[in-house]
Amino acid sequence: MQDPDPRVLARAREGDLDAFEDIVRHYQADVFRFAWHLVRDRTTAEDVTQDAFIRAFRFLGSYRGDSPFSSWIMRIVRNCAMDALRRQKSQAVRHQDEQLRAGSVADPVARAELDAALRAITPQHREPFLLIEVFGLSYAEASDVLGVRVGTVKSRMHRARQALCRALADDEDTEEAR
Amino acid sequence: MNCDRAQAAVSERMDGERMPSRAAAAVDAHLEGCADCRAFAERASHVRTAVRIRPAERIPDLVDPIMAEVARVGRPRTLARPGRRRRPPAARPRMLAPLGAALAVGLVAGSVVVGGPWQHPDGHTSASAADVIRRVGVAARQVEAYHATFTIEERGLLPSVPERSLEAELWFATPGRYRFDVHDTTSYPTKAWTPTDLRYVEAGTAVMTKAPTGCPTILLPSECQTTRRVVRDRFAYSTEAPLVTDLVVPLDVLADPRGLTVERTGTVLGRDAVLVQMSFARAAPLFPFLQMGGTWRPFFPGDRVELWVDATDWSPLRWTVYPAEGPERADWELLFGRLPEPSDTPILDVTVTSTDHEIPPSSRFALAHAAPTVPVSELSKRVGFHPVTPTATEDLALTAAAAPRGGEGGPQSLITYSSGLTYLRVSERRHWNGAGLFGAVDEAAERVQLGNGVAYYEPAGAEQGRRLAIHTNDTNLYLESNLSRQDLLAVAASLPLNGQALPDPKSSGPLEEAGAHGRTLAGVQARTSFSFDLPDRLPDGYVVASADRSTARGVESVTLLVRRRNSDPGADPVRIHLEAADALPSTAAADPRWVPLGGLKARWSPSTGRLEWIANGVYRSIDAPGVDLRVLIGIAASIEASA
Repeated sequence: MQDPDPRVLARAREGDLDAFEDIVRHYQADVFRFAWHLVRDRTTAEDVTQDAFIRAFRFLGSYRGDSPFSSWIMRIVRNCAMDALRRQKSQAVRHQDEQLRAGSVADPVARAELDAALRAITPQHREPFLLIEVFGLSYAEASDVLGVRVGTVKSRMHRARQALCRALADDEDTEEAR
Repeated sequence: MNCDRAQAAVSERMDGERMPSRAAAAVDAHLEGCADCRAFAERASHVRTAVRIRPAERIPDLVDPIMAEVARVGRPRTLARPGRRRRPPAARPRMLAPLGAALAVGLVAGSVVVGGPWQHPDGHTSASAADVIRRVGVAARQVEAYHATFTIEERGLLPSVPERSLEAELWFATPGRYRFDVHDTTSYPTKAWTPTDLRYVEAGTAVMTKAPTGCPTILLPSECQTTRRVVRDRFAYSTEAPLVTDLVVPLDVLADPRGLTVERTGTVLGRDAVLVQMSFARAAPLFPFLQMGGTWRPFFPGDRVELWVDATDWSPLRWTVYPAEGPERADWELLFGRLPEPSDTPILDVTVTSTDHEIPPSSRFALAHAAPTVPVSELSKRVGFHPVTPTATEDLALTAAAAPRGGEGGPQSLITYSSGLTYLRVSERRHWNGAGLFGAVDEAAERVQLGNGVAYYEPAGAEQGRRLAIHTNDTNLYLESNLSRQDLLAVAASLPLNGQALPDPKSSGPLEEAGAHGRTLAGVQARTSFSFDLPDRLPDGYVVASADRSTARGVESVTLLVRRRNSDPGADPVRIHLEAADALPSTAAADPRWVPLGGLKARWSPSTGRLEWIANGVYRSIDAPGVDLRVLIGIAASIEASA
């Protein structure tokens, strides 16, 4: 994830709504995608996305630039997603675990297999995997978002990879056995 | 190294973590021998491809409701509930322009979007490393001819020469003919400076290089003479000239997805292009001119290289070096007396200015010393035996046959197979009495099983491809190629013979026959007018790879190349230079200091990475930018101990 133009960020911190809208447009796809992977429900992911950006605007003044902006905002997204999941539990709301509909489907079987494998790994392992493999954050940035040490991120990332590779290898074996 | 550690290291490396070269070599060595770990690396790469190349997800456009809420911020926030908030217009699928046939990997053209970090609203897509590597491999086999002109901009050579400009031109024609000229257009402080003008010509196995050599930091003609060196048979003798193949198609640099990051696609010089990022150590084959001669600034192995490759013919369009960030780079700067360099300012930039695929005239590659080719049907008459040939050549066509003259051990046959840039050379000598293996293969090379026999394998280096030596009672073969290890072994396995094992090299001492070229090293020693001894003990993992003797302006010198066994293709060798002299030459390095070397004093210049001293009337220098001084002292001590 690329950081926004520093001048745009500076104007947004001063309350320039046009500048903040640029930031929203720049990040909304990644924010929504991350939110969806965390909450696995489209409507909730939309709420989390809105929530995260609003919270980001409110607290933009406290962003000191000591970590990349991308990891700062992903931390906010994660916190909002956790809040949403806690609310869902307390309200005993159940959403069907959805798949994001694609604009076009290239290899639906492969996609489904990967999605299933991602769902099967624990959130503890899935989160660093998403941040690093999908959103391109570094170990340090991911540790910032998740609030754990870099060593912990490395080890969880590796476990996530191992689990996904095992899951996909099992699928291949099953395929061959037919 | 066990599998857990190896797989963890693979994982970290995929995520861009740097590791010391020794650790990286250990991981690579483990992977070469462990099918399970290789399978893990491959699956992890597929997972990466799968998550990064995915069909577009319908991302809702939430800008309006977000900005509406932001405009009211400060008041108690209420989340818009489903059904009550203003619904954005139905999101259209994000249709991005297809990259072109080269990247249409079974995906629906026109509707594929790459997810992940590089989804740009301006319509550029990105690609996976596996795709790029596959396409580069195909392109390398198809290119018949290539011509390109480049500009080279360098920063940070010296305070008095902060920027340099050079122009370069490259020609290639199958099979295996290259010419590379560099012309230095820099305005130096005075006319006494020697410009870095280089010429490299390769025709089959003969190579000619013409360049200023032995240059210290100051390019004065008295200390930096242009030397013309011709090697008739690069099989047996080191050329000290790195391969230039990657300037046509970056086959070596992009042979392996490990350590590569495909960043994004874009337009460069008006062409669709893909941006790949890697370390400087990994990108070394893109900078062969740095080792051809002249003087160049040093680079930290972890410096970042951004390479743009043409998405149609996969030729490199632009490659740029940026200083790395972090404490290791800072330590390197301190060690070599260099000022800190900002990570966003390029320190070397190579940009293509024109390309074409016209077949160059053969006069471009004329070398008087090249072994003349002969019709294949006449080869056996020339050499007096029927050369052994592989029955499987990985779709490479037989393109040339020759009977190189000279060398020891009787007649030699040389058969070249090629397709575009991909080549395989099979050399054979029926009688080889030399100590060690025939060809540029170290006796301590990896022993590999080939059918019912064995062979000895060396990985690719900066100057040579992957190598295999096979010895039987009746003949000796040497194969050199830029095929993958797997493909090279498959070709060798199709040879109608069973290679024999040599006695354990460890029992005869690590350098008894002076490494890779046994006879060549001893032969060089015998032909040199001043006496010197070969290092008899090198730091762990280092071997003497080759020796060259040359004469320039009446001054005789010997250059030994020392490298780490199983080093990465991009790893620089350590150069040991010897010539008769009574005193050290003057130095223009800003930071020379004296270091003890046994009972001697050696001069160490961190900025140039050179350790030099005089012993027994022979000047000796060790050039190894980026190598720890302690390692150099170890090498120097091993030379002196045997003197």
